[in-house]
Amino acid sequence: MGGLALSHYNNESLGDYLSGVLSLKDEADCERHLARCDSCRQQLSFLIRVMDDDLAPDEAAVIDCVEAFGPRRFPAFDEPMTVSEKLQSWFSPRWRLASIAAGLMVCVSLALALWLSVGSSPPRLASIERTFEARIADQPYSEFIRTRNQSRVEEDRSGKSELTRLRASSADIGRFYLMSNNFAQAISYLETAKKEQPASPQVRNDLGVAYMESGKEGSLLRAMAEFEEALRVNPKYAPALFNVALVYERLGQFPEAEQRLRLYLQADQDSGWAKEVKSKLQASGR
Amino acid sequence: MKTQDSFETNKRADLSARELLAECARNLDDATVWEEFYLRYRRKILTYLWRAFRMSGGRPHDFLQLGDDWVQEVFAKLVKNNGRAIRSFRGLTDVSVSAFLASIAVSTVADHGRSQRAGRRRTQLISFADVPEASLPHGRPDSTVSALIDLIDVEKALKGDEESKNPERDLLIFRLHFVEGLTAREISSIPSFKLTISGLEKVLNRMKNRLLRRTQQ
Repeated sequence: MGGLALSHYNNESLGDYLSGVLSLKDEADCERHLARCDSCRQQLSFLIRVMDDDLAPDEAAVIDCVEAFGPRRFPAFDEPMTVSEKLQSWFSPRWRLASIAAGLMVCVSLALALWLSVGSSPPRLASIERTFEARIADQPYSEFIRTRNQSRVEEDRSGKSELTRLRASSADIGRFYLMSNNFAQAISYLETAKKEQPASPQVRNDLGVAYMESGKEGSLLRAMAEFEEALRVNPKYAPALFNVALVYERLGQFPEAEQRLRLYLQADQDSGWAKEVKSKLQASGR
Repeated sequence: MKTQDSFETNKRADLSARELLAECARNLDDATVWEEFYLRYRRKILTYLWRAFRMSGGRPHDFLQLGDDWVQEVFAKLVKNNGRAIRSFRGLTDVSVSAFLASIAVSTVADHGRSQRAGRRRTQLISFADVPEASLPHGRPDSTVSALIDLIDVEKALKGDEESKNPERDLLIFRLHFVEGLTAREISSIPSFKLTISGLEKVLNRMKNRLLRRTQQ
C-alpha cells in the first residue's frame, strides 16, 4: 500500500482508507496525497456521498418505488449456460431489440387501457376506497369507515403501481404514497411536486391531506396553509373546501368548520361528498 | 442432500461482503452464490445508482424507469469478459466492496450520461467526470473562507498552526470541507480522523480563525 502514495488511488484503495484498515504509515501517505491531489480528493468526496449509510426519506421513497414496481429477477440460472454468458446474452442486441419490441407492445396496451379509463372519468382513483377522512384531488366519493386495520387497503394498492409507474411524476408518486397511507413519503414527493407546479390546487390539496393525516405536531396548520393556497388559486376548489372544514373540526374550531361546510355546499350540492357534508351539519344540530 | 444444501446456504449467508465477492469471482457460473450476492446488494446498488444519477441532475421519475435496468447492467459489468471486473477486486474490507460497487454504479450512470449526450449532440462531448463535480450538492462553506482560499496559501498557513497536532490531516479536512463541500458529518465518517461531528466542527472553526487572523496580519 505504501507505493500508492506515488500514484492516484483507485476506488478500492479509497474504500480501504474509508474502512480504516491501512497501516498508520499508509494512512498518513494516503492523507498527504489526498490533501494535494484534487482528483483523488474529489473521488473520495464523491464516494463518501454515494456510500452514505443514512438513507434520507426522499431517497428511500425512490428506491422503494423502483423495488415496488416489479423488480426484474436476476436472469434464470437453471440452464447449462454460464451466469456470465446469460448476463451477456441478456444484453445482446437481439434481446435488447426483443425487449424494446415487447416493451412497446406493453406500453401501447397500457396506453390504450389508460385512454379507455380516462375516457370514462373519474380516472385513476375510481376503485380507491377511502382510508382516511380527508379528500384527495379528483377522488370520487366513497363512504369513510373508521377502521384500525389498514392492511386490506395496502393489498388493494399493489394493482395501481404499474399505472403509476408509467406516469410517474412527483405528484403521481406522492399520491401513490398518500393512497398507501405512507404519509412521510407522500409529503416528500408532494413537496417536490409543489416546487414543480406551485400553482396547482390539486398538488396543494394533496400535500395538505398528507400533512393532515400524518398526525404530526403542527401538521394541521401546515395542512391548512396548503388548503388555503389551493383556494387562493381556485376559490371554488371543492376538495380543499372540504378539507379546510375538516381541519377546523380537528382544531376544535366548530363555528369556522360549520362556516366552511356551508361554503362547500355552495360549490357542490349533489355529490356524495355534499351528502356527507350535509350529514355533518345535521349531526352537529345546526 | 437437502441438509448439505441448507448447510451451503447458511455458509453463504455468513460470508462477509468481501468473501462473498471473492466467492462470486471464483465461481462465475455458480448461480446460488450470485443469487446471494444479488439479494444482498440489489438495494445497495440501487441506492448508489440513484445518488450518482441525482448528483448528475437526474430526476426521480426517470430513475423509476431506468433503475432496474441499471442494476442489471452493474451485474453484467461484473461478469463480462470472463469476470474481469470482479476478479480485479483487491479490496480488504466490506467498505472496500461498497466502494467497488459504488464505482461500478457510478460508471453505469456515466455510460448513460455519455450516450444521452452523444445522442443529443455528437459534436459536444463532455467527460462525465466533470458532471458530478459540477452538479454535486456541495455544502455551502463559509463564503469568507472560500474567498480567502483564493488569496492565501492555505497549506502554508495551516502548517504554521502551532495548536495543531497534525497539520497534514488538518489540510485534508480543510479541503474536504471548504473545497469539496463535505459536511462535518460526512467528514467525520472517515475513521482515521477519530473525530466526532462536534470535534470536527471545532477543528474547522480553529482553522477558519487561524486563516482569518493570518489575513489580518
